[in-house]
Amino acid sequence: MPRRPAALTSSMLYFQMVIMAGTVMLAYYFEYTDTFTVNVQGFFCHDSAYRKPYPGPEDSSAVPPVLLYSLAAGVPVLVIIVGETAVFCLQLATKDFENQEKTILTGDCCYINPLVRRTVRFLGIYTFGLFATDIFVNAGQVVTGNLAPHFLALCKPNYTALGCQQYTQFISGEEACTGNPDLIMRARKTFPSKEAALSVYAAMYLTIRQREIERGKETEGKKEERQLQTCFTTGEASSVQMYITNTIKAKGTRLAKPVLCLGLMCLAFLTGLNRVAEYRNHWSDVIAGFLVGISIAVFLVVCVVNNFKGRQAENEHIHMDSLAQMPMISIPRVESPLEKVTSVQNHITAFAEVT
Amino acid sequence: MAVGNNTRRSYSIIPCFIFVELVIMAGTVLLAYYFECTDTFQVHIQGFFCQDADLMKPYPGTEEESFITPLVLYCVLAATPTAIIFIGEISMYFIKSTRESLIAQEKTILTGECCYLNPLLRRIIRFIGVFAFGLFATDIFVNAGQVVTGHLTPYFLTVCKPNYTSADCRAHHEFINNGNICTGDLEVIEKARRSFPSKHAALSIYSALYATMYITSTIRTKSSRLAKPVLCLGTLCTAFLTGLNRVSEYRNHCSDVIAGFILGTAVALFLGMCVVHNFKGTQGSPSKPKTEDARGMPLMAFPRIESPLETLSAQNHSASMTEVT
Repeated sequence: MPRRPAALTSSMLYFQMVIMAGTVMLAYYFEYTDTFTVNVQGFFCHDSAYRKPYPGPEDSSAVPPVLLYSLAAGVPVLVIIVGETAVFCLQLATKDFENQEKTILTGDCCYINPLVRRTVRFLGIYTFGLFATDIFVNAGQVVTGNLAPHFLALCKPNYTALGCQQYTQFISGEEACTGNPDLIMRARKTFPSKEAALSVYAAMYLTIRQREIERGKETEGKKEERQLQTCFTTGEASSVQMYITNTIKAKGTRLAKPVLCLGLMCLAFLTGLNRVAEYRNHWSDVIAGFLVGISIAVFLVVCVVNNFKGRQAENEHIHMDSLAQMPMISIPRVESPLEKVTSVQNHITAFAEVT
Repeated sequence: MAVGNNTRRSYSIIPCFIFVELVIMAGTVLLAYYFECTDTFQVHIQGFFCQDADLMKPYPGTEEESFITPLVLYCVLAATPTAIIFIGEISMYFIKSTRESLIAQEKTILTGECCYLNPLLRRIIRFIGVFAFGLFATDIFVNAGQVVTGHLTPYFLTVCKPNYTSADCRAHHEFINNGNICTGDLEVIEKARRSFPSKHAALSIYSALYATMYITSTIRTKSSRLAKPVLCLGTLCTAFLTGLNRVSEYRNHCSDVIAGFILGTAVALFLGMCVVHNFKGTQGSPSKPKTEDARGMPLMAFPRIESPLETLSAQNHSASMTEVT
């Protein structure tokens, strides 16, 4: 089978690895180093927007960062792997009896590739998006330097020394604060809420991806129908078996999929709301975080899935080329009119018997 | 009775329905029940500023004294889309022109020897089932949001009657974090802590939007050009007014109602577009993602060769159909 030249594939892989490494490095610099210093914002004396009590360090939150990060990284990986494997197994299962006369065409070595490749591709893009969201959020936080609702509780400004007689007096400058500088630095990073963005990104990625798969299913549906017609005539037993697998999939997903999607989205939204309830973020931060997460997920899935389809079409072309070399196989696929007639007639008689 | 290739045999559909759909549905209802009627989930205790004018609106009385009592609201929003779907489906089934397209879209399923599920039954069960599921899902969303945020209603301070002397509230706009300084009725206070997405707004807009989507995508009568918009806009307007009424009675803030509207709209759009596919039949859905199979049969990309014999057979088919019915 003519494949792409190995050098090209490996260089593409190398290129992608470099991009990925760069993204991870940038995220690392944002998270763990102080290469990018935060923009220092001022505040009004006794500003009630910043006078909420300090809720304690992040680890004492109802959704601690460890839990959030492990869920955001673990759940989609699990769902994607399980989903792809299930789809793959179902394909194998239906393959067995469906293409009994066409076994020449389907070399068994080619089946392991799609599963691994699809999984790696989806997971790779997902991870990339996760780091990209992190970078977006961190960059936003550093550039805006918006203050957290509990800022004044940490900053403990000396109002008398600052001369804060009027409420409208604006205080700028870092030296106004007397509290712990580390905590103050963290309280200056709120504007897009990181927790909200990451959780919504993870939930949204899974939700849209399922929708895309479903849409793919619909377009494939027509082919399926045609095959079902032929199955009817070839053997009643095999068609029944096919229907069972079909109905299990179709019926089982009517409510199962929305439950999964809505449950994930609900958890993501609750994560965002919890940030506000614990005075760690303002409303605007959480909403901005939701927007960042949603837009990155939509962008990645829509653009990149389109890319995938293009690639698959390319694959088809490759296979068509290979088929052009052995045209004998393509002939049986052209449905002869006579076959149609017999199938329809058979069909009708079968149903006349049933009723 | 069975019509050509639109009938199929399935012994698995009823067990599937019972074991998958009903279990999920039961889980959803149970969760909603726990949120509504028990105190399993403790509400988050929010603090407030002394003398916060936003929370000092007068107490409008219990929910039953509201202009739209909960009982009326729940009955109307559960019954309206159900009735509309029932009437719509039954009339579609008995009007001849729509019936044919309906049967073309939907398969009759034979389960066992005698019983069959015809398209009418399948569609009614599917649409009303998804509607009920969405109703409970919206309720869970709203309750979870209320419990997690613990946002205070506009009449909170009136109900709470805080003992300001015990707290140090002398300084201007002091933030009071502990909820223990309330002296009012505990049950009323508990209810006053649940406000953030307005439940009335979310449920009513969900139900109205679902009904609207059903009406716009199924009923296609040419004769009455204004009946459909009047029906749709009327339902939506009622839902909208329900939300506004909450604000005017000081039971919710404006942001609560807006969040409720967004929530209900999102759930309704998601269910209507992704789950029941704009209330069309299930022509394409019973199949699996066979992207990999495209490699196996690449000739699907070639244009289908139409043969005269095929059309002839199709005619044959329709003739047999008229015979059967």
